[in-house]
Amino acid sequence: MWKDLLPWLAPAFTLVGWFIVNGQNNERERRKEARAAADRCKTLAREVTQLGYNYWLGQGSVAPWQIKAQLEELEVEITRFPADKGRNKLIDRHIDLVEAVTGLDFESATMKPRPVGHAIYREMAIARQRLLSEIEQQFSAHFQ
Amino acid sequence: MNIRIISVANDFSPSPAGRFVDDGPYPGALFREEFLLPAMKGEQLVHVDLTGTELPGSSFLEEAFGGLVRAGFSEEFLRKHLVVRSSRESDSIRVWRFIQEAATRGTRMH
Repeated sequence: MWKDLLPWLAPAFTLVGWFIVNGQNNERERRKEARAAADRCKTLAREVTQLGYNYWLGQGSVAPWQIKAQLEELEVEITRFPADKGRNKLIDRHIDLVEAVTGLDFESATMKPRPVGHAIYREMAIARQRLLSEIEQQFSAHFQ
Repeated sequence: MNIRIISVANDFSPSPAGRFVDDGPYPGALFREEFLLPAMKGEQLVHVDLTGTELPGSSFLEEAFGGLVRAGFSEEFLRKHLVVRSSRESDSIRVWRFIQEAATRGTRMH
């Protein structure tokens, strides 16, 4: 009986090996894509915070719609994280950033630039940092 | 049960922005006065749908929904009679945060 099976052993091992390697490759690709998505979220968070600084400082002619469009894009990216391991916390941190950047008299026709010592800049910086940190937490929870 | 559905994008503006009437054409105060307050006073259930709008600034949402609390509606009443929908996950959470914050400020002891 063993003699009959012997010729099939090599192809069978090859097939099993292929499945294992293929699974590992898929996992590596998924992780790479997730890393790229997390990095994209972090870039957007940094950029929108910078736009927020410039808007409130009255520098660089930043229009409110630019900030809102970027915040919306950030939310789209963030909601690509799977929902099953605490994505709500990530959305909460995103909301903190939205509120920090678009609060006070945002979009008011009579908005006055705030001096660099104003509390809004610290709030934006804190919200950004918490969001960046949560993005990493979510990445670790799902893909490491 | 009477249900009033308000589509912000269709009934008010796809680009709601700002807090007060002199901030621009579609600010939160105007939305509250012309849509939210009459609906809250007249209907048993009010559905506000933010689908199709630009991401609303916090200034707009706070004035429109936090303003309901300042106009005399309790958070408890609003939780029973107001439903917020949107294609964005964050909108409803933000609205309820502003309502909660306005209620907390209103009841804080000074």
